[in-house]
Amino acid sequence: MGDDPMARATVQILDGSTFVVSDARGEVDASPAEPHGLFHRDTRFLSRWSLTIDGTVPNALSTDDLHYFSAQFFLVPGTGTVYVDAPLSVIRKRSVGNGFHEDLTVLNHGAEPIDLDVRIDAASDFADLFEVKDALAKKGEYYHRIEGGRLVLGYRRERFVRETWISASALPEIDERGLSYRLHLEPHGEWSTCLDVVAAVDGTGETHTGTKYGHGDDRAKPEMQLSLDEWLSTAPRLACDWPPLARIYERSLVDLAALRFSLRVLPGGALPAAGLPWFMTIFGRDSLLTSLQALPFASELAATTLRVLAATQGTRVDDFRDEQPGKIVHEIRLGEMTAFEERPHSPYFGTADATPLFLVLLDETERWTGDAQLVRDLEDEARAALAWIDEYGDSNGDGYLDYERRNKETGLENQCWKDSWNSIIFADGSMSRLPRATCELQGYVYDAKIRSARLAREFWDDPALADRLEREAAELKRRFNVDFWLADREFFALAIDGDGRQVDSLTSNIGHLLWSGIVDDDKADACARHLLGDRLFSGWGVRTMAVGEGGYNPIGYHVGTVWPHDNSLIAWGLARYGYRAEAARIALGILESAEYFSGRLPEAFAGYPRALTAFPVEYPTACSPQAWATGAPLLLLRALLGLEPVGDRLLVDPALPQSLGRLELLDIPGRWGRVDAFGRGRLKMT
Amino acid sequence: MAKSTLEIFEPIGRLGSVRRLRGISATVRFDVTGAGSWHVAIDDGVVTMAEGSAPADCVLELEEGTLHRIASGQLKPLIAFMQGLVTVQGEPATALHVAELFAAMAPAPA
Repeated sequence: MGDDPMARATVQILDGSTFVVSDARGEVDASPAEPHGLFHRDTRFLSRWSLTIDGTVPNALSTDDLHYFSAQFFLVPGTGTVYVDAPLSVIRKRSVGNGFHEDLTVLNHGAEPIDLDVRIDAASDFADLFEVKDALAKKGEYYHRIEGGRLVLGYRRERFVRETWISASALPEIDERGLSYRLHLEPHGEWSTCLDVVAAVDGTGETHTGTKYGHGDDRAKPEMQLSLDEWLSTAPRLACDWPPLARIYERSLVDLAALRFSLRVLPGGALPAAGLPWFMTIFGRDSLLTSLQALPFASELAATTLRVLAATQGTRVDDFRDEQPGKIVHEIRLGEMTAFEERPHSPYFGTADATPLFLVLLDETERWTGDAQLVRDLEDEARAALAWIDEYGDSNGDGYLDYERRNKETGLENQCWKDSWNSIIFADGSMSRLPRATCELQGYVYDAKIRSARLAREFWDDPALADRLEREAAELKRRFNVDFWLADREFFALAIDGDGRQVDSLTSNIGHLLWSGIVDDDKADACARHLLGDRLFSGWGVRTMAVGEGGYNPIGYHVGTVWPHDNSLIAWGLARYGYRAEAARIALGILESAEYFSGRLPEAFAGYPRALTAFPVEYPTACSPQAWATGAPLLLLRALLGLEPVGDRLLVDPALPQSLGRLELLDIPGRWGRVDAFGRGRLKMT
Repeated sequence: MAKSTLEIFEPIGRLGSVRRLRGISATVRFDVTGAGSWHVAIDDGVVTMAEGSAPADCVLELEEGTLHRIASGQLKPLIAFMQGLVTVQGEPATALHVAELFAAMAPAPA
């Protein structure tokens, strides 16, 4: 293997929180450097799954991702240098769901009969997702047994038990390390078997005896009301003179379908998980923002997101989980380390923005769908969220929402979306102090209060609360435009830190401020100029941090890269303040970059100037697709077409780049029934 | 001192009408391993409770310890379902109403 580049490519197929990471041959061989495996409910159920023919691993001819849940590997035995005239070929077809089902076929193309030893080695380390990269020692014990034609691999730590069951349709010889066959193939003959790897005992209390997909199952069986076909057919239809846009749009819809995460106690509903494969779980911020981006296209995601986040809202003060009453969750995990409280994710609350964003999404969802029942059902949770913002959210009493973790060991240092350790730094590159009140958090609070005031007035019959929220929002806006404004540099500080200092780096966060509406009209022009200026705008998109700042690094995670979801919010913000041409320029840059990623935007790409690299340079991250990158083209479409619900009508006010030509979005669902939107590109982009 | 399982259920029987369960009618049974079974009926938001294993729309099976952690607010019902600490038979959507029962009993946040 070693140098075979095909062998190094990572293939990921998935179904809900179950996924397989393998190389391009279908081989699973986990190591700290290679996070391979069959993963299910945050636990690795298989760390080794290796096929050999006469003692050697066959080479990959080609690999097809058939569906999001299945892949096919075409293999030939040999040295890896000459593929032609192989006398033998091997096909592995794998479908993921509650483990995986694999159809293994061996074909003899020769005129002579052959005898072969086929071997499948299997093992599992039952690593918690959190252990995969750290290779931590396990505290429980492993066991195995062979019973009724099946190999059982198991792990036990007190009441935490996980088992993988492995069986085959063609009876193999079974030992504790795998399955073996001695084959005789006639000339032009073939042999095949089905292999089932079942995540049998997975902590749900039920023992699963089979995989979700069987032999020849090619139709998706998502655990939700809408199949992939139905999902695609209920979304608005798009047509555009610029051909890539239809591809990007369909890619986003298909990926969003794959990212749906369902819960058995909420039948029929699904919310977007944060990213595949490693973040196939509920993240407050990611699920909220993705639902928001997707509102015009798949509004049902928002309702489920809101209900699940309401059901997990904080109720008590718990430092280990960074929990407080009314706070919305950051992340939920189900693996061993979480179960034994070695990690705080049951759930973890280390996020300062999810709580105001919960209120923003609640209001925006009602504006699109007219779902008044949802707003009434979640009144208590919304009020608790508002109370959290005022009572707990401002830890030092300076009137701004801030964060400082109380779990010093495994909690998150930065609890805003730029959550890497070095993201909130001064222009000279020095570190700011905790607690940190980042600027976009104040924007979210402003927006949350304005929107909640509407909900209080129209649905909760509480005009006094509405008046109070509007007064507080106006006062926050007034103070913010003084305290965060850097008059000499004409932009808003990234944050006010624990020493009360303005963190003076120029960052993309000012775009979020436009989205929230907290920016005074006389300061919007300067923000737009900075966002589209050479220091922030790379030509593809707005960098997270401007060139020239002390912390700037074009390949630094939150200090110079371009994030598509960030840009979608910025474009929406610019459009809100009337900067339609600027919004269109950002939208076009991001959509053009998507072309280079086969229509699937990555989480982030490098901040190099467009003129320098000619194509966007991908930032190496583990997750693709990432939910809010998937949602970015959707929100950009909304910003370009100027879609805004106004009462029971949908306002359409397009402002498109000339190069897009004509754009149609048909059957946009909402409280108005279904409405079509048309636009023609008239804006010349320079 | 830790409450007994009976002490957890008795207040449910005294809840009466729960605002957030208005419009909901369903029956839920708790099979608490080693402790017994409790049957909770919700009739348009009005809650009544009886000990015993009468049939219900939704049956929740859980350990005593899990019940105590849920009742004290340490463990959220939805997380308990997701972690498999509570197994649900019957109508799964009904199970989430249980969260409302415990929320209704919790002391109001200070």
